[in-house]
Amino acid sequence: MAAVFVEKSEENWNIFEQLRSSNFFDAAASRLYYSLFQAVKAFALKTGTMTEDDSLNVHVKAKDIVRQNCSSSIYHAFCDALEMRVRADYESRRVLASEFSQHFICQLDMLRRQFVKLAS
Amino acid sequence: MSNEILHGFPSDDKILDIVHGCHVSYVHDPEDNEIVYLRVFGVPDDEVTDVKLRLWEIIDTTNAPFIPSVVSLSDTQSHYPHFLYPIDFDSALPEGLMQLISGITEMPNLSSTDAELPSPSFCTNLSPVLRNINEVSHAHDFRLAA
Repeated sequence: MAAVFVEKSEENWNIFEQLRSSNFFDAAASRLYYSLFQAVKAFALKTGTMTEDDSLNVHVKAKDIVRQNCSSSIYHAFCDALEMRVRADYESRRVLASEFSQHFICQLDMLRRQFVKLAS
Repeated sequence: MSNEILHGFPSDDKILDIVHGCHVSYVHDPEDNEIVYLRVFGVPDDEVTDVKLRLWEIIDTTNAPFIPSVVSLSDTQSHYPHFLYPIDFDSALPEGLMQLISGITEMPNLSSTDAELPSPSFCTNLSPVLRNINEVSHAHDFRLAA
């Protein structure tokens, strides 16, 4: 089951990069977060800290897993991605190109790769 | 709080206070009610990074469920032009926010679904600032066990 979420994470990361390069920054922010979330979920499924049927507070659980396993700077970047997703999907304020700094994306790519590696 | 302040504000936000001209509010994640975004609107553009780092410092020392969200003054004015203009911003803004957070973290019902807007007295009777910030550093970015 974890393998499916690894695949989904990879797919969403690729879609995120395509959307960003096409200047669809709100959609990119949404796919970026869910790519990270699915990588964390794959890890959580493998370690038994989350089940596929979990639907209550799943984003809190993902946030806690990242906090417990990553440095504070990576954790903060994950939280920034979470906040961007909410803004992109629920608010009128747009996500801007400048918010996808190279440093920010590198941090999140590291996070995703680590969780994917451990879940695979 | 007057309705004038609420005019133009993001509809789901609950306003906490105005600190040096910046509106401070919180809003729950629409998909996960236990996640709370502490939002500061109207921070001068060149102070956004500093304010956000200071917010993380204080949040990291507490068990508060906050994720800081700092909106620059120019971004605030372009999206919510009716409600915010800088009043008396000065370099004390981060300190004022730290005081506010230390008071917010004592709110027992903040993470509940029906969290209510704090009373005005809450904003003027803040607990002492949490000043002993322990900067946590890590030798490695990840400590996941293989």
